[in-house]
Amino acid sequence: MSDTIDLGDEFDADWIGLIDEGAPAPDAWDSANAPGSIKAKFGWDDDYVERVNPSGKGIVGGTKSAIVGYFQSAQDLYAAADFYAWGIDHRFPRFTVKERVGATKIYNEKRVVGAGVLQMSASEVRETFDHNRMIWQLKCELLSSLTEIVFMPEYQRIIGLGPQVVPLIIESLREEVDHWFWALTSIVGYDHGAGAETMQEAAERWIAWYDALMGDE
Amino acid sequence: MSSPQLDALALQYLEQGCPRLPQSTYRQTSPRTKRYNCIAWAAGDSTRWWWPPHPLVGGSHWPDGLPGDVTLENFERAYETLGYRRCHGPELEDGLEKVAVYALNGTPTHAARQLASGRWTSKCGESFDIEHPLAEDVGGGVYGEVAFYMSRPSTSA
Repeated sequence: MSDTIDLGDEFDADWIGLIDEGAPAPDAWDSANAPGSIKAKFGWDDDYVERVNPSGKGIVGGTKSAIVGYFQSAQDLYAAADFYAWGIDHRFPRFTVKERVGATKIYNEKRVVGAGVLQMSASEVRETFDHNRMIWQLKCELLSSLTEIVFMPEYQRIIGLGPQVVPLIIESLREEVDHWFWALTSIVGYDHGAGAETMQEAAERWIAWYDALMGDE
Repeated sequence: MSSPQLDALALQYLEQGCPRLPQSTYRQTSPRTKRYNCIAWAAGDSTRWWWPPHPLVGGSHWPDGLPGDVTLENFERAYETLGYRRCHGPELEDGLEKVAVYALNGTPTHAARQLASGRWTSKCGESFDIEHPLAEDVGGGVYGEVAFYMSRPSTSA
């Protein structure tokens, strides 16, 4: 029979490693409580969905009003955690480890998601930027609508990288004019391209601002 | 920056997004560029990105005095500033040049301009300029369908 170790509100620092972007979609998961699998609950009290991922990677859950579902990344969990408490049952052949965490604690606990997202190295920022930029550019290939272009999830993800991404955006602007002005204004807090009539002009203003800031001019 | 791989991918995207194009005799007439868009190109401007202004986006152009709404009415008013008025259809008429404005679910998406030959020219988002036989050739996909046509007295000799 299985014993249960309930961790209460204490985090297991390893839990973040259980999230794997390559994990299969929830519907493909086996619902059996296979040894070594991870069983995830999400939501308050009885109002949750639980699934088992036999690969031991990834978690899934849903609640009454919003199926949060399969988390593709730590960032998704971070966003979801703003609203919900969650729990994970780590099932092993001879015992189960339960984690139960309140929403506020997740939201405030930097070391949880911060381990992967809030403390990204410069190379991780670049990798994330390059990846999202490529997908964003492809998805916008046929679009003219500026709002559609800047509301793409990949573009928002780049904004979410914060000030560290500004040099990369400027570098990208030097190579090719693109719709980076919303992102730059959002991160910097001021529109240094304001009043520009063309994208080229707006790009030049932002590059000039950056160069002046860096002391190159 | 353009590369053969990106161009091939862009062409694939174009034909997927405009599913009638592969059946037409369309041809590519420019490299890919993000300096201007379809609305500008139909207006005869290849230097700016025309779209109703948004306070945070920047770098776009829209005729003075028009609002920031992304509506067919606003797009009609934008072309009216260039002398265009609504007309009944796409056929080539002596002394007139025409534009077609497209919409998907009532929201403007694209514009094309008729050439003196009667064919149409489109700038497809951030992609190529293309020339296509019919205005409808770029419909049926991401751009929806032609919402209305506008014409004005020809400005070319």
